[in-house]
Amino acid sequence: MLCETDAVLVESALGGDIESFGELCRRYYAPITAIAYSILADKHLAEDAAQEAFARALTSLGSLRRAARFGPWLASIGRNVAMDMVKDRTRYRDSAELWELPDRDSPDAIHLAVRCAVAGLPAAARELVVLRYYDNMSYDRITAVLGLSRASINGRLRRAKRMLARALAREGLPEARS
Amino acid sequence: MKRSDDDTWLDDMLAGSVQQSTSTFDFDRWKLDHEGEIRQFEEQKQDSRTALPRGLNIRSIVMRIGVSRIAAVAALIAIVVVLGGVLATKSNTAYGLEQTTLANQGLRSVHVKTIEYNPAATDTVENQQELWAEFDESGGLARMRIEEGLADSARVLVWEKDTVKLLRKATAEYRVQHAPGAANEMQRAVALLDPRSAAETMQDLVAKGKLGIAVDESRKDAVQLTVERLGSPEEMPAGWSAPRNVVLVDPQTRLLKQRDEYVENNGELRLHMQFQYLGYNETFDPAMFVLAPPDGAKVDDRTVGVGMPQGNLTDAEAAVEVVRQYIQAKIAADYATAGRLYNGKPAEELRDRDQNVLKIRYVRLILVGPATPSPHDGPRGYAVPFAFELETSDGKRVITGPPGDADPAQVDESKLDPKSLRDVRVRPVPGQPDRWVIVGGI
Repeated sequence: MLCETDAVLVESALGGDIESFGELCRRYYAPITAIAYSILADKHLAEDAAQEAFARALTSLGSLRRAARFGPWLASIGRNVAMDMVKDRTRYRDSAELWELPDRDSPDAIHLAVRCAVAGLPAAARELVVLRYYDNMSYDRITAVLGLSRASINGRLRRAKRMLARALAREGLPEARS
Repeated sequence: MKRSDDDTWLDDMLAGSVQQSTSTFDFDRWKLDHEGEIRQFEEQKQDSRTALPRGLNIRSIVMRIGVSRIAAVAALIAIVVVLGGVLATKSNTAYGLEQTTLANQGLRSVHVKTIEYNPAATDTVENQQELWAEFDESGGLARMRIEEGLADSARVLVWEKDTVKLLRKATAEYRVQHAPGAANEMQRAVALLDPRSAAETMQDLVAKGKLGIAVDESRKDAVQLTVERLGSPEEMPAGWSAPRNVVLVDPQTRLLKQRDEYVENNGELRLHMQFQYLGYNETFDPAMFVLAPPDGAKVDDRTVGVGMPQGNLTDAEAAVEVVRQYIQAKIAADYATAGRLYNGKPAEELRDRDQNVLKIRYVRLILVGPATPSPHDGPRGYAVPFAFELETSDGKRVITGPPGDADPAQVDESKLDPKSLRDVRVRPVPGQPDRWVIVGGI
């Protein structure tokens, strides 16, 4: 199981093997970046946030009470880091592109509407949707990082998508198909 | 079940809209960029090998991050709870170590009061603190309240998530601030509540012959553990240098009831600190963790973020309003407000730009709005046309907004066409969709 392996790596890192911590970082880089992206809406900032989250995690690793819960614990650190970055005025001023569209020269109206609808979801639902579709993440990885069962993730994702569908319907999407 | 076309459509659209490819993580590069954290991690490991000394360092850690002494006291109290629990746990395996450990593991809240006496005059209370702390499922600190001090020095601190609220009662000074660094430090401090690791350390001390414990089970209400330091103070971990601790343990729950720490004074052992463990796993009134400023308090709210609250305004109305407020703030020379509205720019930067670089003074708002969508500034970005009058350093008045600016004498303000004016770009604050800021154009 993924969690058992996490626990082994955590214990190994606590024992002094920094490369074990590196393996944990590699394992969780994409999900933590996705979580940060759900808050920051900027890929590069999200990657910065993930790296900062690893730094905080390393210096706090001794406080992790259940090694098998490393993923959810790291996810909470990642959320805090991303929120700090939002709050940090200096970084905010330096990130004027924060809400720029990824493809500003040829904006796709439908994708724009979908992104707006995602941005309008409650934080937890937004995070889950981004986790699922950012980097095409598997349910197993989402399970590991959120500490939720697959059934719970399924249910929450379904509800989030229903909210999205309703929001998009208000925008007249999907377009009528005959 | 067959998925509907709409489901498939939404999946495809989400994949197309949200999907990003994450860069490859380069741990070697990360290590180069985070040498400080790696060094800190290695130092922590060294500390943990020397057992409990890290406990009493918390005070200085919390002090260093500026959350105030009161938070340090909280950490200290928390540590003592553990240490006390450990005493009961490890000192006498016949007393039920496993049960005590289990009881500690289920800890969801503690209520502790400490009284500090003058060892030279034991009747004299020098200070006191009271802590209410709640823990989450994983044992991390969820929130806490501390009341500390006597009379004029009395103060209250409430900490939850990343926010610290502090009230100095005598002066009615109230402060609220986001302090994520403090949260980390406090979490780290409370991690010391882990009875398993603490118990192991205590066991080590006993095994090394540095502590001696006498158990008195003659009392009905508690088991008394008298813990004597066997080594010299210098060789004891921090927190264990006192020559004697007397610990009372509840015989039913195996949890601590009280701990008295005795220090030497003029050749006698005198009571110095008393820790009263008033409650475990109590459900606290949520109001305990809501610290509001009393009437007339001097409020220092450091959580005020950038931007203007949207309130009941529509997006387009909010876009216009934030620009209007910005220009009005500039006219009033309120650079702090102007800075908050202009993407969080420091007030001094705006003041310097107006007064020393451009040498202008905002005089009068003439026109602002209407807002038109500006998708390049984000999904809810807007462009807001404006016109206002300013005064240059030579006393000349200028209307800015029209291309190339204009002489007030030459402009019929009633005929200004918003479409021909320069515009300010505004949008919601990232992560705070109900607050609006100016991001450029003025």
